[in-house]
Amino acid sequence: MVAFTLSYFIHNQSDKKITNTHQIETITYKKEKDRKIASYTTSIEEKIDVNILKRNKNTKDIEKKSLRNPNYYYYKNYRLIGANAILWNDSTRQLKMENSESSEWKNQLGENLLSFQASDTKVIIDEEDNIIKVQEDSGIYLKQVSVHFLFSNGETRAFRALVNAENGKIEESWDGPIHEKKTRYSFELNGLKDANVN
Amino acid sequence: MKRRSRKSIFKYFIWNSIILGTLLLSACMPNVSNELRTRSSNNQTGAQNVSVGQGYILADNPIILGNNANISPSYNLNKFLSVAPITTNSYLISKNDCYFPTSLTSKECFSVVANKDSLTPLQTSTGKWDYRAESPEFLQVNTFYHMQKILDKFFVDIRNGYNTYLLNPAIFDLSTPNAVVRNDSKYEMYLKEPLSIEADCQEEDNAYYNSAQNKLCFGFFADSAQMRWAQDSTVIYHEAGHFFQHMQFNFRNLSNPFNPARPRLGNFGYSEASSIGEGLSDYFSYYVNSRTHFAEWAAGRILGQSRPLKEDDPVHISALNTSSNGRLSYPDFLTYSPNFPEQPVEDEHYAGMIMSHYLVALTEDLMSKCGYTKDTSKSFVMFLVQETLAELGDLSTKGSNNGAIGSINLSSTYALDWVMKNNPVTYRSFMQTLAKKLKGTVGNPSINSCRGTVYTKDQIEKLIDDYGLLLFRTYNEKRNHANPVTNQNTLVTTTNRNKTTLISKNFLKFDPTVGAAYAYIIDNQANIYSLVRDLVKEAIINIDSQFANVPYNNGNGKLSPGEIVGVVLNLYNDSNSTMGGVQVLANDYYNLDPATKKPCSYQSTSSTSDKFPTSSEGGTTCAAASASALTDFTPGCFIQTTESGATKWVSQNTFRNKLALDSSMCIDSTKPEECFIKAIKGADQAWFSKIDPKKNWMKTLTSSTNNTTPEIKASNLILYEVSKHLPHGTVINCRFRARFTNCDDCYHDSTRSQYDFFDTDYNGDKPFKILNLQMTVLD
Repeated sequence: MVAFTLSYFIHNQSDKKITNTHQIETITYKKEKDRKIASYTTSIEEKIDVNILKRNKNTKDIEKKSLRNPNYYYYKNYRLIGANAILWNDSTRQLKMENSESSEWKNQLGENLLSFQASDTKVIIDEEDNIIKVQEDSGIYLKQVSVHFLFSNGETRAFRALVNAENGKIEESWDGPIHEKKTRYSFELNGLKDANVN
Repeated sequence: MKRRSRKSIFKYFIWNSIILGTLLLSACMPNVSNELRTRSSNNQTGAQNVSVGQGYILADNPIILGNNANISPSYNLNKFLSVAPITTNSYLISKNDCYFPTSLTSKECFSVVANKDSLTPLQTSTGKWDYRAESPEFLQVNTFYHMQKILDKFFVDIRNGYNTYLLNPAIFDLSTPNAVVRNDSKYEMYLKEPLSIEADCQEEDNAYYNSAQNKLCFGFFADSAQMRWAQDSTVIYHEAGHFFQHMQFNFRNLSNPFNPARPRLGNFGYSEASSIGEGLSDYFSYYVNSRTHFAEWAAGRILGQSRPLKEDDPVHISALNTSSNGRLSYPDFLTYSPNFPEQPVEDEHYAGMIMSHYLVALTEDLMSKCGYTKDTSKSFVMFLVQETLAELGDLSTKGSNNGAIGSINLSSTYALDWVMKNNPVTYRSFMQTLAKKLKGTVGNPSINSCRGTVYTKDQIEKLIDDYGLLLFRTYNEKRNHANPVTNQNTLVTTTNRNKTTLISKNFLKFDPTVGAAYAYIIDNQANIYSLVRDLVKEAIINIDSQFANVPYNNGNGKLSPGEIVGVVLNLYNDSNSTMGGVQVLANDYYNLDPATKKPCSYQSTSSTSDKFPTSSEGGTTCAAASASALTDFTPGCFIQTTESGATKWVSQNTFRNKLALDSSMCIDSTKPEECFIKAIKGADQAWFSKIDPKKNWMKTLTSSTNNTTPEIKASNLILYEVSKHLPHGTVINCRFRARFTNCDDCYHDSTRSQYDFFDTDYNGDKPFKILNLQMTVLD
């Protein structure tokens, strides 16, 4: 089989200002047999499996670039979100932050996501944006990510999320799948007979 | 079932190439035609009659093509193949017809591969796409053909609908953004990337759309080695329908600077939004093929779950017909399955039939009353659906191109919660918005597009009422800016409400039957483990790894320290009419007085049902008359304590202080108000399809013939994390906010001429029946 080289195309956006160029690693976390979590840089093949990279004749992985979208609001190279975002757009005032950024957020997120999954399950965390959510007069550092599960039976699942950039906890998630399959459970129900109601 | 490896797919490709090359030597090459040509039934192989750019497809599903409902799953489908135009590209990639918000030039709209292991889309070396029906290549070509067909129809209709109504925004304020429509022949995809389709994906008994991956996936069947979902064109249209709906629902969100989220129509499991989404997707199948039955092959042949879209379908029970009294009406038919009518079933696919049947009836009514052709009518109904979804899903809170911020979904900061939980899409909100769109277009005397006049307000309301869906008292044109005096909404004519029943919220209660449990607890370790596993992977909830393996779950049927527990309320309908779309919320809302930190309620208002706790029990009246949209979110669970010999209810943070427990020991150290018990976000709402009069939900769904009790689904329960530091014997009171879709006082504000409640009201208790459940923590 022809060995394909894979490339990720960042679209030509000459009208958008590049403010920050840095390598954002996409990480795969894998639950091992002993329930420990291993992690490594996501392979190109895995990125294709979960549609982070497009299938293409000449596809290769290149570094991502953070772009400024002219429709968005920014504060020190972070995209601002929330109803009050506009108040802090490129502000020179100091926005009080309710959390800090930690390099551990991604590891914690990977661990949380795999904690209930079977061994050999992989989760790929692809960083999409650096965000500050403005709340009243303070902000929270967040990461926008896409999360991709790869199960040992070949199934995949994915969603997007805003994650606390300090502790890796998911604040919001969206873009999950819509299925035809019905998931069935046989729950053991226990009547709560000693409860009171008002 | 054994799945093909990459190596075997490669071998298959080589083998097919050899066969293809051999066949090419004797192939005749007619001109490319846009028409389908059905091949003779005994012609099973060969590239005869296939020209460059053409290929073999199944024009409909095998049951329709064979005119045989019992056709074998292993039938030789080569007998049904037709020749159709596919693509002149060398890869199975659509034309460069699509623009994406980040692209300056058009790109392909979609590509089709076999499965995730495929390294490239299928390539032809001959220019032809003539594969045998049993090959994985055929599935890709068949999927490609039908996807291109619906894509072309969808975008051409957008352009036509837009050009018809955009011309004068003063006549009709569109919710579809202007940028969606191009003036050239290209399509504005309104997604970040081209759609990727896996025609033979590794999913058992499943097909799905996943927006995070921009992917459609058509799987296989566990009980048939030959059958595939992608062999059924109606399923391709249905799944493509989920993709298009998601795009329509998010038309106003892609460039929203304030919120990056994109809501989906519904959740994992049952909800009214999920049901509407399934009904709309069935309509997408009809939209393309005009047939009023869906998935006879893929959903019907083995699983026995194909679905009709019209009351005169022979699969329906005899009581249903196309007269006003014979319609598939809400809420009675929410749990009706035409395939197993004696067994009530809570399933979003069946509950969605009310939507698909209404839309088909509307299509035919417009043909009848306005003289539209079927194609025109279907396109117009799709335009109405698009307008409805674009308005309801708007996280920018404008709702329409001329709308003001704050018109819908509260505020950008909390809009996702409002769309998904606090004021979600229901049969009521969908029909109210769709009725407004009808009235603003075909019902608009400035347009007069119905035989030179209008489709009248009475006609709009009567057909909606035939389906039991006239659940709203006004058209709510002004939404959050409505004022009965200065900014008025159009009133629904009360006499048009004949089949629709509106019920007071106070008829919803805990089951009062002597000996009945008020709620059910699920705390079995294996149950909770499998449930949490699924909810995490489906993007519904997130759990900290400290709860991995749910080590404290003991299965004693009580709340125990350290557990994750599911709570299923045993709800009862004490009215004489069926309740539909019962929703229970356990999320944060304004129920803690900011100044005194006491549990509060709007006790001074007549519209609240919550009188607990009284001031002698530690409660107080909420300081504000209604909730703030920005700050007033507090948990609904309080804890019993003793103060000066009297029993009081206090907040979790107050209780923590009494125990002198450091906040670092809380479930979430940053949120001391939910220190001891926390409804898990995402699993903090429950849905029950319907509750019959004088019954609870379980009895409603119990089969009258075999007494089978219903399955509990993930969507029926609320999940809580319980702190391991919660002392044994502690009593917790959780306030649930409950409502239902055909509830009168859950949506209509009696203090404002029955106008809809404001979005801020859904952060309080006014629109809800408050259900207080007290549970004792026992180890």
